[in-house]
Amino acid sequence: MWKSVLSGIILENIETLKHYQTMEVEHGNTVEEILQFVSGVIITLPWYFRFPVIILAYVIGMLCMFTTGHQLNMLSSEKRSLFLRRVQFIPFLGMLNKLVRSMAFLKLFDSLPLVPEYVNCANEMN
Amino acid sequence: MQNSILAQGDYTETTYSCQYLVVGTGAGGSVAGSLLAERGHDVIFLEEGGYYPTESYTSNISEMTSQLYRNQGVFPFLGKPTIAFAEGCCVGGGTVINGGLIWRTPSWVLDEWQNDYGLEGYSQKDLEKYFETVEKDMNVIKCESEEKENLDSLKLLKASEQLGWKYVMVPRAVKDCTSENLCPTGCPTGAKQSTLENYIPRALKNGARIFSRCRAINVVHSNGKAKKIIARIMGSKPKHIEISCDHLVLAGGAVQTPHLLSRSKISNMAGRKLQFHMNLKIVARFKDGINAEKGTIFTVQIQEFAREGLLITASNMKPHYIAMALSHYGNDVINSVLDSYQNMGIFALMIRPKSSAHVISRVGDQPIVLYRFDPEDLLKIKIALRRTATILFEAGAIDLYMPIAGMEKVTSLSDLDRKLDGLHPGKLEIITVHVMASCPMGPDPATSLINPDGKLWNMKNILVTDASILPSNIGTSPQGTIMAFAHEIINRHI
Repeated sequence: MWKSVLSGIILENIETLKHYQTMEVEHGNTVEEILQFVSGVIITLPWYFRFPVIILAYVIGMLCMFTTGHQLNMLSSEKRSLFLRRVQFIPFLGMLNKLVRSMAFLKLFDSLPLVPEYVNCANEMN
Repeated sequence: MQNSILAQGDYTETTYSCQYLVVGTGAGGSVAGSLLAERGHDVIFLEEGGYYPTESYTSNISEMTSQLYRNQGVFPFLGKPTIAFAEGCCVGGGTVINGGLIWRTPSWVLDEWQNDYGLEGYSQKDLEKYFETVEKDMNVIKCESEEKENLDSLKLLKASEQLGWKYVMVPRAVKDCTSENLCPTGCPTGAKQSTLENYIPRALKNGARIFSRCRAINVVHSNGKAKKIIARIMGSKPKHIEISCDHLVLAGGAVQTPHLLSRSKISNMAGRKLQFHMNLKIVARFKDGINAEKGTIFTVQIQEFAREGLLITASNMKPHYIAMALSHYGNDVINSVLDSYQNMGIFALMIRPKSSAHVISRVGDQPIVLYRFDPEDLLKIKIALRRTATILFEAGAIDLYMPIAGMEKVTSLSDLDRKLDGLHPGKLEIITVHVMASCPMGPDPATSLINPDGKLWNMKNILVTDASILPSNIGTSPQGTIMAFAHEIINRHI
């Protein structure tokens, strides 16, 4: 369940990025690759950071199931955003989001977008 | 060469022996090990990370981060705010993932160590010959100002001249740099001179062996002498081996070295006052294109406020790094910034803070690092942010994105002053890449752990040659200092 929560948080963080929206590859695969990377980072964290992060993800996952009847990553964008706004009061959720967001960006930008505007610009300057 | 480097699956024995066991292959360990091997000693390097030769490096930043960094680049210092410590964990250690800056220790820092900490024998004059050797070994060159590349650094240089601020061209260990801008994830062309390009091959040529993916767990000792190390081979099926040695050289870095000493019940003072630099990044938008990705990462450093503990440089530029530096902003900001990517630059300020940390080793295999944010550092950071903003606006920046959660973009100094008012430290986005002084060297066993010969006061055969031994926070990139100290310690020892 904790990975479905991570997947939901990843989607929440990358879905509105132009880079993600214009990627030529299948979005599901990208999210899965990012999930593998981010969960890999969490698993290698020191135990005193890893366990609270995983427990927190479980708690959010349970809350999501109880309140919406679905896993976080299965919700529509609007419902997912609404749920995450409602549970913002949970301690350390901000820290979890910060960690997932940074790591997701690190992985996401290793995949080139369909319209790599900034790459084009850079090439023009050369 | 590769036959001398063991990895998982290559460890056919459970016991090994050598004259010198060197824990760590970064700046301090590789210098010590190569000098010892060159003088005919039997040397084994123990390295927790894997061996990734230069030709295996790619431009895939996430993959390289996974391979070359401890915990894939995320090691938290717990406090408010939590600080992410990025530490190299591979054969070559931090030298593989740093910017290749090799500074001589500032004379005022060495004077401070002599006058305030009583450290004799490490003056500028004493270390001169070692700096010269290191600079030759690492192929250190002074970067030159260019008009086509490194325009982010050139902007800083010109603004610095306009303001009358002191700047220097950075001395870097590079050979035929092709400006890949990938220093932090391993230079794929081998242009950046990590110890993989010089000291480690020299050690291997002289018979040294490297045990990679092998973590030192415990030092077995009796009667003030280290006898052997128990080490764990990393992997899905961990296995333990024992390595007996006549002498032990610890160079696992300023967090792991005190952790090993504490766990092994050699010193309960180790790691009590870990010091570190605070790095903050500002993303700047310029009116005209600067194409910051084209060029190497640091060519100019603003040193006007170096004695107050502030250095300013351009930082490495990739979409990944921009997005991460702006991760506390919304995606609308990141989209807008990436839309004008060629006009953007990332600038780093490095602060020598008063805050210090404590390495706790009582529970589990990994150390816990706790720190307390010293209130004086808040003022220091505010001043540093203002000074950096001053030079960036002078350089032609029109918008600045600050490393502060919840702060909107800054368009002028007065705007910044208004927004910095009432700043809470918990909002700051701080990282660190330099840690030190956790097992300080000094003349008095009551106030130091290491004697001026680099040996633990309470052990006859343990040397330490990493950043742990620096008496206090150095305030600049410590690689050159660590290497020079390692030369001096090994020369005194043999």
